[in-house]
Amino acid sequence: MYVYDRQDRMFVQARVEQFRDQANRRLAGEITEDEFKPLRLQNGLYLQLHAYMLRVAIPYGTLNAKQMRALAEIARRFDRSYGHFTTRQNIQFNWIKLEEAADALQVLADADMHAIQTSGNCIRNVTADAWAGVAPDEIEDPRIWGEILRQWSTAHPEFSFLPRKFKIAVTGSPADRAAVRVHDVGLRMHRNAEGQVGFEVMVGGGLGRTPMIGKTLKDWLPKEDLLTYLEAVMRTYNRYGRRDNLYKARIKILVHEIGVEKMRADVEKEFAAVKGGPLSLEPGTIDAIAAHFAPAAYAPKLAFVPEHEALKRSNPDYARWVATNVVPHRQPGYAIVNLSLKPVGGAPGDATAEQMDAVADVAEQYSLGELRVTHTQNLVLPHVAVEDLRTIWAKVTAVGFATPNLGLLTDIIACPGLDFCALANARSIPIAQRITQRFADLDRVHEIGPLSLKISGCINACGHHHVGGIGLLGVEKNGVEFYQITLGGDPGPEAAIGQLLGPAVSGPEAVDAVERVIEAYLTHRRPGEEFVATYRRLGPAPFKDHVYAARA
Amino acid sequence: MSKTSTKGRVAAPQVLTANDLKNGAVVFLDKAGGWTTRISEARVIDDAAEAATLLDKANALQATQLVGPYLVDVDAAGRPLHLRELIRAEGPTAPLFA
Repeated sequence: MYVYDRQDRMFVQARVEQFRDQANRRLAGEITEDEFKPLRLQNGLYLQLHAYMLRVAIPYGTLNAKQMRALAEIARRFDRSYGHFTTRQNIQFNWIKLEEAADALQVLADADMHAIQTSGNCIRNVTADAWAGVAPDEIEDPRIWGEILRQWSTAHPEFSFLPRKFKIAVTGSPADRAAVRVHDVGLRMHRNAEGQVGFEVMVGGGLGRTPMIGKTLKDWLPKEDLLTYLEAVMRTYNRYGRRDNLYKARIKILVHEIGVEKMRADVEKEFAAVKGGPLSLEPGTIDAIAAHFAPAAYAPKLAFVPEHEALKRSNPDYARWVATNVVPHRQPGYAIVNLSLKPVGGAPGDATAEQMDAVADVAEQYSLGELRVTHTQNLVLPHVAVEDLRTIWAKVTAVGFATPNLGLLTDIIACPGLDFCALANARSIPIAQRITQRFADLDRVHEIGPLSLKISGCINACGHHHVGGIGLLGVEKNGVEFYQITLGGDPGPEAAIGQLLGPAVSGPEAVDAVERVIEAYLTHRRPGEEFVATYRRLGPAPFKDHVYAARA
Repeated sequence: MSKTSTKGRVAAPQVLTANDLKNGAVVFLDKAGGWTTRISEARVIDDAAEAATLLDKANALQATQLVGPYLVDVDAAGRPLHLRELIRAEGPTAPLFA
């Protein structure tokens, strides 16, 4: 993985000292809150419902064991001993004190991390496929490009005051595990007719108040032109994006209003002016970054491990965990181990300091010291030898991260909701907890099969409800929480925005309503047909009838 | 946030809240004129003019002590009427954090 050079280290260390001075001046009354707020937000420090919240960037969701321990240290020393992994592959700490915030940033800087550009109208932390570099179906490691984009966009003066925030996601695999079509810019690596690897550039996707699927601006872009082309996209957005209306300021609105053809023409005009300029990527530059992500030095391992096969036969719990949370690796004899942060009754994405330390130890011993954060709020051990799976299973079971529910109903995405967030209208976490309790029977969850359930506590859609097979959106009606149900959403290559099923249901009714959606699916599905396929085939009617029949 | 009627009478009793600048904690103006993290100790204000005066004083404390003071409608027992304010006053409701 990428390792900071001297310049990176000097930069983040200097930012900590700058912030320490800014915070001290605020505490001393030398600057006002209005003056201080943009400064703290530029360092990821929000003021939320209960306290300050620190959002830490985890570039393209990759971190090493030492960095995970730094996160544990922050949780333990400066927070209430836990953190919340987010849908942007970041982590948030909910109870940070302003007078200790610079010390927390110092812990990050000492581990080559920061909280810069996790807020504000800038290019945010770039996200990528959490199985980058290890997935068998991958064409090329997207983190190379995530890192190039990180270096280009960090503290970029032209793009520090955009009309609105800007999110870029990269996938190097046709399976798209990074939801690239619902980002401001989505990049999908693929081969052209000549077999060369380049990017499909999608623009104007997004969730929130106005969900949109990104439109393809360029079918295939040569690698060397990535930054020049994106500079042209950003410049076009910066020039024409709406600054007069917060709700119309994202690039998706610009693309929607002027149309993709006009957007493409404007971008191409700008691209023609900057193409071949200093931002063109020389092969040597790309190679230097790529070297950081070179395939790990895998010790030769046996792909067939008799003890592993024997335990699968004799222990159904182990067999189920392997079948559900362990996926194939590109290297024979290795596997990708997914750690579920979705136990029954848990808060999706939460981890305690002890859990973070424990998985750091496991990563160090068994995964070449590397971990990933997924946009579905789970963690990944990316380089595990098949012969170590039995040991890993015992260890992550003890940690509480071995619930065999990856990609299943109880692998819920949920935003912090009204329990923590100043923007929320309704709670998310208690709904997720009640759903996992209702569906605590793993046999039942496996019988239902692949299905994504995503919960947002307000229209800003941090919980990605629009692209959930089942989406729940919390709304407020006369001071009472209600939940809108959307069905048929999909974040993948065939991205789709879920459709509203009918009237919102009350908080107490929400879990029953989800259960009735599931009942309708089980009644109508064809053998082997996944939830979204059944919904696409039948439309909302059978689901609507069954959910609302109970209320009639 | 609070609403006051045009006649100067408060629509509901109110408490005055803010965040503590140093640690971000949710605080309430107490009966002795200090700031407490316990809403049960908060001063319940029945008079709109008095509420406005107290809010002005709290705003002056933003230089070194408070962030974002505002008034919250409460019931006769001093509990916030709005769910958001209730959760803000009493903490996260999810069982994990109770």
